[in-house]
Amino acid sequence: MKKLLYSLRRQIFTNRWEDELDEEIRFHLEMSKEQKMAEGMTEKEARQAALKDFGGVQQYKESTRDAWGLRILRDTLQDIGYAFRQMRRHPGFSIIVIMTLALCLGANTTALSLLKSLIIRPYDYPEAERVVMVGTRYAKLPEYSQTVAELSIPHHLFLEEKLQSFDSFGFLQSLRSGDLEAEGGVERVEYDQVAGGLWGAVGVQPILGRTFTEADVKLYGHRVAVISERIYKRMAAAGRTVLDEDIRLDGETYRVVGVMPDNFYMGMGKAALWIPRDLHDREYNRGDHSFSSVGRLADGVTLEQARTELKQLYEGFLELYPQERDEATTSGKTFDLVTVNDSVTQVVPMIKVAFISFQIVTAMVLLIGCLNVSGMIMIRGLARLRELAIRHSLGAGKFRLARQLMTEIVILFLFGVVGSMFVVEIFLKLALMVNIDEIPWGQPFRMDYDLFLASLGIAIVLALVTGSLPVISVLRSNLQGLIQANALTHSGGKGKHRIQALFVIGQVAFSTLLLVLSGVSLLNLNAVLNRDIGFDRQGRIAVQIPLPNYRFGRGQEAYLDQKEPFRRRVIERMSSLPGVLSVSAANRIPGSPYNMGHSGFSMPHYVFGKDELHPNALRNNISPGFFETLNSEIVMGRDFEDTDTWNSRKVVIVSKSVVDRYFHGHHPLGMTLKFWGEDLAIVGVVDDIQDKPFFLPESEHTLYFPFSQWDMYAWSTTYMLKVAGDPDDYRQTIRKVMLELDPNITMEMQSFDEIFEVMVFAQKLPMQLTLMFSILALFLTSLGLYGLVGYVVTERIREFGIRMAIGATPGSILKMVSSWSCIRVAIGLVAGLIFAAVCCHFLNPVFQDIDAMNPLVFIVAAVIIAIVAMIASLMPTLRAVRVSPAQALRYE
Amino acid sequence: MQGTLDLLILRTLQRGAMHGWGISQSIYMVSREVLQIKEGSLYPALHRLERQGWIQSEWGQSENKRRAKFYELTPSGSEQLVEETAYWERFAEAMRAILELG
Repeated sequence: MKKLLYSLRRQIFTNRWEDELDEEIRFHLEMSKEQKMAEGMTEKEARQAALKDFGGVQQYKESTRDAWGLRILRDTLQDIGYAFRQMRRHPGFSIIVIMTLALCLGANTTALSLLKSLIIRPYDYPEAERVVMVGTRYAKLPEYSQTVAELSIPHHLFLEEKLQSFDSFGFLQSLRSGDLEAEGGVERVEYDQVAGGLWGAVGVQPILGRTFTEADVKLYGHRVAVISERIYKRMAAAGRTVLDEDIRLDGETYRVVGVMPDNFYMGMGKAALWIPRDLHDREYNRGDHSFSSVGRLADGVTLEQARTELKQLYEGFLELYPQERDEATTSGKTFDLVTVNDSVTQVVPMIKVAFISFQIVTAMVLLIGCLNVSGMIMIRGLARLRELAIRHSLGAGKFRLARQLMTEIVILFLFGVVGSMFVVEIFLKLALMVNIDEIPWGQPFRMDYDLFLASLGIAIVLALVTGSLPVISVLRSNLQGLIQANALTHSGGKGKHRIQALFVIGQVAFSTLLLVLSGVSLLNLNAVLNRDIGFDRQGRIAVQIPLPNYRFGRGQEAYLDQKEPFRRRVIERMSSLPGVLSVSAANRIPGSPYNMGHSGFSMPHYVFGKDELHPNALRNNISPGFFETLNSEIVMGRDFEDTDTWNSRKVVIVSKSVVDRYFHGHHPLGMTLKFWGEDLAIVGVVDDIQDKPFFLPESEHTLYFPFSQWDMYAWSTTYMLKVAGDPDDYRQTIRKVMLELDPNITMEMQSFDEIFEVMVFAQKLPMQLTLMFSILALFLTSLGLYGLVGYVVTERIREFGIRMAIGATPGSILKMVSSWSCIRVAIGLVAGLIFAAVCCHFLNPVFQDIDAMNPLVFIVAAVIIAIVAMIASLMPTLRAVRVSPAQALRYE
Repeated sequence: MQGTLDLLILRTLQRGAMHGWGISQSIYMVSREVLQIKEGSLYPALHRLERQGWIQSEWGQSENKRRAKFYELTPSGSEQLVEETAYWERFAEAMRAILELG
C-alpha cells in the first residue's frame, strides 16, 4: 500500500521530484569534486574524476526513475514521439514498409473474412452451434453418406410430434419462386415457406414488427408475411407504412407483420419474404424429400444426445411406415442432424478446400511481408548503429534503445493495420464484383468487429516477432566499440550472417511455394476449361420464363390447356426472330447449380446385387430439339418428337453412363425403365454432358423426359436459344417480343458463357488469387533481396575498394557477391521446391484434372525465381562495382 | 549485487540519518575495492528502499550549509536489517563449510 502511495505521489509531482533528484545528484558531485580538489587535483580534473567515479549520470537518473515505476508511461510516450520523428525523417522507407504491411495484412484479413462468412459461420444466428438442421442420412450411399439431406413432410410431422431434445423445431422450404407485387410492378422473387417453431429455432429478431406466431397464422389463415429489409425499403420509399399493410404474392394477398434485417437468410440463399406453410392441408407424399427441418437444442442437451434420440425415433418411424423399411435397409437411411454452419460445406467440400487454401496463401504472403519488413528494419537499424552508439555513450541504456526500436516497429505495424482496412474494403468490393453472390449462399462480405480485433491482434504479435530480430541485433552489438572503430562494420558477425541468410532463404522458399501453387492451379483451370462438357456454349443464351400457377392454373388440365400451349407459342415466336437458329426448352440449364432434382430409378432386366446401391439420376424435362440446340450427340435412337404426347406411351432418354453401367450385352432401345412408379420406354441414348457446376460432386446419370408427358416443374421453364453472333445482342429483342406475347410475365436471361463462369468458379477464383499473390510475393522477395544485397555490398565497400586498388577486376568482385547470394537463393529454392512437392502431393486429389506433381511446373517456377533473384541481387552489385577504388576507400 | 548494496545502506543508516554522499563515503570506504560499484548506483537503491518503506527521506542542511536530502531507517527497515543480517551470516557459514570440505 505504501508503495502505491509513493508511486502515485511521484506521478503527480513529477516535475518537482525530478528537480529534487537533480539537486540531490548535484550535491553528491559537488562534494566529490571538493574532496578531490582537497586531495590536490585541479578543478577540471576533479570534476572529471567525480563524474567518472559516479558513473553514467543519465543512466542512474533513469535507473532511479525506474525504481519508482514512473518510467513505463513517460518513456513510452517519449518513444512514440521519437518513432514519429524517425518516420517523418525517412518518409520513403516508412511508406514502403507501411504499404507492404497494409497489403499483406489486408489480404490476410480479407481471406479471414471470406472464410468466416462462407465457411465458418455462414449463418449468423445467436448461439448458432445449437441450431441444427435435421434430416436424413443415407449411410450406405457413397455420394450421400457424408451429408445430412432433406426429408419429406410426413417425416417432419412425425419428428415434430415426438422430439424431446429441442426447444424449438420448425419446417423450412427454401427459395420458392413467385411473382411479388410490391411497389413498382411485378417482380419475380424467391421466398421461404416456414412452419412450426422455425423462427424460434433461428432466433434472429426482426428489425420491425414481429415474426408470425400460431395466433397470426390462425387469424390471417396462412396469409401473413414477413418481408426482407430490401423490399421494405422499396415500399417505404414509395411512401407506404408497410407494417399491417398488404402485399400480393402470386395473386394472393398477404398481411405484412414484420421486417427482417438485410443480411438475414435461411436455407441456401436470400429470400425476399417469408410466409407460413400449412402442413396439414392434405396428405403429403413420403417420397418427396424437398424440405428441411431446423431446430434449436434445448438447454443442457448435447448434439450427441439429440443425434441418439433421432436414430431411435427413426426406428419408431419405420414402425408407422413399414413401406420404407426396404429402402432403409439398402441405403442405411436414418434421421440425423448437422449444425447449420456445417450444413453448407458438407455439400460443397471443394469450396471449403478452395477458401482454406486461399487463407494459407495469404498467410504465407503475410509472412513474407513480415520477413521483408524485418529485414528492411534491420538493415536500417544497422545503418543507424552509429547514431545509436552515440546515444548509448550519452547514457541511454541498451534496453532502452531496444525498446525504442520496438516501439517504432509497433507503430509502423499499427499504421499498416489502418492501411489494411482500406485494402480490405477494396478486396471485398472486388470479391462482390467477381460475382461471388452467384454462389447460392453467403453473407454480404463486410468487416466486422471481431475481424478487426483479430487483425489488430495478429498485427501486434507479428510486430513483436518481426521486431525481435533487429532488436536482438542491437542488444548483442558492441555499441561502445563502434565509436572507437569508426566503421560501419560491427561485431556479432556470425549471428548477423545467419539472420541474413535465414531472411533470404525464407523468402525465396515461400515465393517458390506460391509460384508452384499458382502454376498448378493454372494447369488445373486450363484442364477444366478444356474439358469436353458435352455441349456447345458459344452463341447460346438461356431465357427463364416461369409460368406461375396463379396465372396459368394448377394441375394436369391447366398444364395441358394453358402451360404447354404457352410454351409452344414462346418457342415458335422465338424461332421466328432473325438470327435465331434453334430454340428448345428445358426445366434446368445444363451446368447450373439450380433445379438439381434427383430421383432413383430401376430397370426390370437388371438384378441388383445384394449390397449394390440403387442409382440416382438428375432429372431434366425437355422439349424436342433440346439436344440439337445444345449440339449434344444422340448416340443411339431418337430425340423426343411431337408424337410423344400425354396419351401415348411414356418415353425416356438416358445418358450414356446409364447404358454403360446397366445395359451390358443388351440393346437399350425399347427396353423399360421404372421411374416414379411408371414404366418408361427408352427411345434414345445421349452423350454424357457436364450436368453440374464443377464445384459440386458429380452425379453419374441423367434422365430426360418430354414436357409433353409430365406436368411437374413446369413453372420453371428455361428456353435455350442458339443464335448467330453474340447472344447478348439479342436480349432486348427477346424481351420486347416476349412482353408482346404476354405483358405480365417475368424473365431472366443468361448467356451460356455467364453460366459457365459460375461453373468454373471454384477453379478460377483460387487460381486468380493465388497468381496475384505469388506475383506480390515475388515482388516483395526481390525487393528484400535487392535491399539486403545492397546492404551487404555497402558494408564491404571498403574491402572491395582495397581489392580493386590492388588489382582485382570488377568481374571478380561481382563473382564474390554473386556467389554469396546465389548460394542462399539456391538453398531457398531447393527448400521451397521440396515444400511445394509435399503440398502438391497432398493436394493431388483436389486437382482432379491434372497431375499436381507435374515436373514442368516445378521447373518453370524454379527458373523464374532464379532469374528474378539474379536480377535483384545483381543490380546493387553493379552499382558498387562502378565506384572507383579511391571513392570506396573514402566511403564511411 | 542489489541485495548486498541494500543491506549495506540499511546497516549504514542504523548508525543514524545520513545524506547520499555520506552513505556513499561510508560504504565505499569499506568495500570499494571488493564490490566495484559506481557511486551513482546508490541512488536507485535509495529510492527503491524508500519505496519499499524501509527508509524515509527529508530535506535538510548539510555540514557545509548546503541543501541535501537525508535518509533514515524506519521501524520496518530495522526489522528488515535484522532479518537480512541473519540470512547473510547463515550464508557465510555455509560457504565456509563447503570450502573447507574441498
